[in-house]
Formats: sequence, structure tokens, C-alpha cells
Amino acid sequence: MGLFVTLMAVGYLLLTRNIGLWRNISASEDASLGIKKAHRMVEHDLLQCNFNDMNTAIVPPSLASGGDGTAVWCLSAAGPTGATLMAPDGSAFWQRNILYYLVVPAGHTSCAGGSGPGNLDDRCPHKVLIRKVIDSGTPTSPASDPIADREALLTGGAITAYLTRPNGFDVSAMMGEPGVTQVEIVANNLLWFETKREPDPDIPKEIQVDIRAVRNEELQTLQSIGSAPLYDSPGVTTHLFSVFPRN
Amino acid sequence: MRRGFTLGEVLVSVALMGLALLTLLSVSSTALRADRKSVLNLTAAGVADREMNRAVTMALNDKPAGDKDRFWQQNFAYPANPWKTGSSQVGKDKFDYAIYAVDVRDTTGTDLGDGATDNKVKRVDIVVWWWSGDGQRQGYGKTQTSAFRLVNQGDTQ
Repeated sequence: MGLFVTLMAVGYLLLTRNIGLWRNISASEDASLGIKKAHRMVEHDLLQCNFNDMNTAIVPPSLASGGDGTAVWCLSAAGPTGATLMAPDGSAFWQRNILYYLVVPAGHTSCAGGSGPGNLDDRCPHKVLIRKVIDSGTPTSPASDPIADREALLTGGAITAYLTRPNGFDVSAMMGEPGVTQVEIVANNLLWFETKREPDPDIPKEIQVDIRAVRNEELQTLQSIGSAPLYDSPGVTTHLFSVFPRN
Repeated sequence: MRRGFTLGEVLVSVALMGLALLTLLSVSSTALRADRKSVLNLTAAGVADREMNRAVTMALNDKPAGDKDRFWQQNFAYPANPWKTGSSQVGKDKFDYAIYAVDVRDTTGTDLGDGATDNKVKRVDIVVWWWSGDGQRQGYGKTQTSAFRLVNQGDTQ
């Protein structure tokens, strides 16, 4: 009887451990997939930008303190079909502002938040990365005059109005913002999105992107999640890459 | 009278159950290793892309001085003669890398660009590894990744 009880206890422990392992693996896969998708889309858009027509800003805090992340935006020559459009003189036809920013969804109450490195929040791992395509000023189309309708880069002051929070995962209300022609959530459950322009003076035109997501299910279910610093936590996947715009 | 299980039957069933649980644990352990490797592969791919582009950009901007000529005029062939080596820390993980750069030649052995001194094409390769110098570890397989890009001298004047 004693042997049987011992074996049952060992079996229970093994099963519990297995369930924990599989949940961690699943959370890790989710984190990697989100990061990969964010990398692919950010790189694709930034590569087509002009380094001098690009800017970054800190997204205002949604939680207690610390900006939600970085916003990066640039002028794009990609038309509605994704193809690059040229002006008659062969130069790129800058016709849209493309904006990426990380933000805590509205109504999210499980994170207290707190300031980490660079005065950005490093505690809430449930942020979403949003991509907006903005046609500011006179609406531009491939049929319009590419010189007269050329878009200008939105200023830091003007971009603030676009750094809005989705209602959960619902971004439909953002389509009502002036000039927004596309909006989507690129990745969710991200902890960190930070972009730096030319962080090393020896390397011109570099845009460094740092994306982090919590990969550990056990970490995600801790009661202190949302209030404990996670920037350098061992349960966080860190992905650093650089983009060198071609224009 | 109802017949119960014999001791032998109980022992066999317990042994089978134990075997099944151990197999499950082994599978989970393998999956965990594969997941860890997948995460490191993703990070290493970012390191490869980043360090290669940074090295090329620095060379094309002649930093440090003389590196631009060195890049275009010399060949740095894998594996004995790396152009640059270094390491990159991402979170808690350290990645080492070596970068190679060689002229691209056609089937006759002539440099692309008809041998012009200002129109070469270089193939730049980077190898990134972690944990150990030989690029593999027992139970994890390969612990290295690689990437390459072509650089056209005519586009960088």
C-alpha cells in the first residue's frame, strides 16, 4: 500500500511538472512568434524609409509611470498595393506616414506599471504593438500630383494625437482618426519596444530596435506580474536588430 | 465472491504507469531543450543580421580609417581568415561571431564587374555561435547560425 501511494505521489508530481513545462513551451512559442512578426513588419517598413524623414518619441504613460514604449514613424513611398511609387523625376513619392508604437490597451487593469531603463515601463507584459498608416493633409492617391501632394513627416507634437490606446484588441475606433487609412495590431503580449536612431556615432543611419516579450508562463501568472521589473528577467525573450534605411 | 487484483497485476500496472510517466517527462525535457534552442536561434539571427550590417556600414564609411580599402581589396575567407570577430550580449546570453568577406567571381574565375577596381561585388558571411566554440552541444545539436549578404561597390561610392 505504501509503495502504491508513493508511486501515485511521484506520478502526480511528474504530471504536474509536465503540464508546467508544456505551458512554458507554449508561452515561449507565442512570445517568439509575436517578436518575429513585429521584426518582419517593422524592418520591411523602415527599410523603405528615408533616415532623415524619420523620428522617434516616447509613448505617454498609460500606467503609474514610465512611457509605454517608443513610437517610431517615417515617410513611406509604398502605395495602397504595397508597391513603391515614384515621382516623375525618379525620386520616391512620399505619400504616407507609417507609425509604430507600443501601448497598454485601454481597460487593462492587471498591471500597476513602473519605470524601467530610459523611463519606459518594464513591468506590464501585455502591451500591443500598433501600426498605423496615416495620410495627413490633402488625401493622396496614385493618380494625384506626386509633387504637389507629397506628404510631410508628422511632427512630434502632431504624432501625439495618434498614440491612442485600443479598446482591448479592438482598433476600429482608430480608423476615425484624421487621415488614418490602415490600422492593425502587429503583435500582442509584448513587454518592450524601443527604437534608437544612430545609437553609435561611428555607425551612421542605424535604427536599433529592441523588442522583448515574457516567454515564461509561470512568470506570467505570478501575482506580482505588472508591478515587478522584468527588463532583464530570465523569463523574457530579448530580440535586438538594426535597420539601415535604403533611401 | 468478487475477485481482486493479484500483487503481480498491481505491480505490472504500476510499472507500466511509471514507464508512461517517465516517457512523458523525457518528451517534455526534449521539447524544452528544443524550445530553448529555438529562442536562442531567433536571438542569434538578430545578432547575425545586426552585426553584419553594422560591420559593412562602418567599413563603407571608412571607420576605422583604412577599413574601406581593406574591405574591398582583400579577401577574408572562411574559416581561417575572418575579417572581423567579436561578441554581443543580448539579455543574459552571450553570442560570439566571425565575419568573412570574399570577392564574388564568375565561373571563369573573374571578379564580377569585369574586373573593374571600383565595381566589385563582395559576399559577406557571418557565423554566430553561443555556449561553445565548436558550435554544438550534446543534446542540443548545432548551437550556431549564419547569414550572408552581397555588397556592390558601385552602389556604395
